[in-house]
Amino acid sequence: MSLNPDPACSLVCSPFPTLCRRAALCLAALLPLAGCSNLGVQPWERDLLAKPSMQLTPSAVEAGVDDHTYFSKEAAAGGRGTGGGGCGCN
Amino acid sequence: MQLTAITSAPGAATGASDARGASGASLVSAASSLRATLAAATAALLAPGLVAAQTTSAAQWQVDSAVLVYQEGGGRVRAVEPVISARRTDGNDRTVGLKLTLDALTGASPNGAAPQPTAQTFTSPSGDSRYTTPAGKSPLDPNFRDRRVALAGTLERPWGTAQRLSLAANVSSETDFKSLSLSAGLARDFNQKNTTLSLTLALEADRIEAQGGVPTGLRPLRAGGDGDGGGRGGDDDDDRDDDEHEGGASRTVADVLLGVTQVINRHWLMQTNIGYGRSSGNHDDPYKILSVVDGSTGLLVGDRYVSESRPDSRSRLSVYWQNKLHLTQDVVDLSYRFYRDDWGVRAHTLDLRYRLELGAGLYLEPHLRLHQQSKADFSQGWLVEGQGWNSSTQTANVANASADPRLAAFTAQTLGAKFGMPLGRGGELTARLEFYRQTPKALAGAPGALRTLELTPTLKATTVMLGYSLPW
Repeated sequence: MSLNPDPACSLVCSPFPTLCRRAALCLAALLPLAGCSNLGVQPWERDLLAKPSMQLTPSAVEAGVDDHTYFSKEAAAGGRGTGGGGCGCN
Repeated sequence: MQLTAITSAPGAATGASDARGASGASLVSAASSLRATLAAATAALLAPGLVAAQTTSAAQWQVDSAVLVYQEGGGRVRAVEPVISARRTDGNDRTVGLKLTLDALTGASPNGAAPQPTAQTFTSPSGDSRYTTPAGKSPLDPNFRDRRVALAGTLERPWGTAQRLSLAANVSSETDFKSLSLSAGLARDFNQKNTTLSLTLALEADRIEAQGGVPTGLRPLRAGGDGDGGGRGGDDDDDRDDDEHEGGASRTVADVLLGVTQVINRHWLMQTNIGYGRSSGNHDDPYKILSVVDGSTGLLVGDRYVSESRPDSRSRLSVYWQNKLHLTQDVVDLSYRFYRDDWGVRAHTLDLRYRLELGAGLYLEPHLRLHQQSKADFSQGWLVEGQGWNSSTQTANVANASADPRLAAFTAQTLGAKFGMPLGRGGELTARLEFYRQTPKALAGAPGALRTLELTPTLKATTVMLGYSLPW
């Protein structure tokens, strides 16, 4: 399904190379934007996307508990949200 | 508490949150009914605000609750964590949410000291008890107990045309740690809501009030009086000689998260986040120590134990890439995160969930998570007398050092599954069982006796989680 290009695409794409100098990071970051102009669906094609199981975070409670657990056991954190856990566990 | 509610909203706004306020059961059953299908199609054609206005005219609360039990093997840490969350979206598409989390932690935690061929005796951080580690075992402090209470509030609302504003506040309190954080996020839809950009800013202020005071930098601990070992405190004199922050220490954290959510096609939703965070202040773990050993024998020598030290700032960068794929019936959730910080840690985390629809709303969701991280620059298993530490002058030859296993290089795997079943009135019951294994990388260059001991034991943990959700 082809949609009209949006100026927002270029606005978003341009700062990324500056922010992430490493090519791998840029690739990962830019991949979703590579086809801004020809990706997507029409409004009446959102039946599957609208299902609760297709939410990016189907359960905020479960995601929060998981992030807290891994934050307390590993050095890396973040990704899908902000904040360090509000916990003295690490 | 991670402010995931902020960042999940923009992604959901791209497509999934069109169903905000509509129950999952009604949407699933819509496929089997022409009338319901037409209703769903009509709803999809409308703006989110109108959808919310129609489907949440009753403005019900959505209540999610869960209890997590996390148990590490070998009598180590056990955590029991009940959580209850409530969200309500009104007719103007404004959502308010509250979440209460409790944490009860008990068990034993590594204190950082290296194992020895003889037993070692330590004094607890509070100074009121002692514990002995058998010969050849990694020292664990059995006095690890804490309780945490965290309360979070979120507010989301439309902000102009095709934009959504999210605000969140979180306060957390435990025996030796207090935290307050605020965040604000703005999401904007483009391309007929196929692309959503989001920007979230968060600030966090932490206060550390460790038992026995908060140490500053590498400092010797008073030796124990039994001649066998030593540790934190001694017979009649607890903890460090000097330079403790009896009044506690503080840390501030600032985070920014830039996200792009893109609908690829009818079956595929993708999100990429770039997060950058910088924290300043005290980052030391007040309960972690290092052993001072002889470079030839590997035995304790000189001051024997010193407190750990970490840099007073940390910059973190993460790139997170998530995909949701709707197959014929099942849903695949695949994500990857790259992480790096200026402490030298590099980490790769892959997460895969496969939601297998069993019919009648039942589902089984296997979960695999793979994590690999390199060690922090200052991570080391011990300090060698005359190299990293000089007992005669009680000074360190390194700026920072920590034997915290969480800052070491390791790989970790999580394997488990979640089972979900619908209940009446739109409720859902879930049960999850997972196994976690963390395998540290062997430490190189162990001197003398340390070569024959298990320096980096594997951590195994089991997680059981029960969840119950219902409209209220």
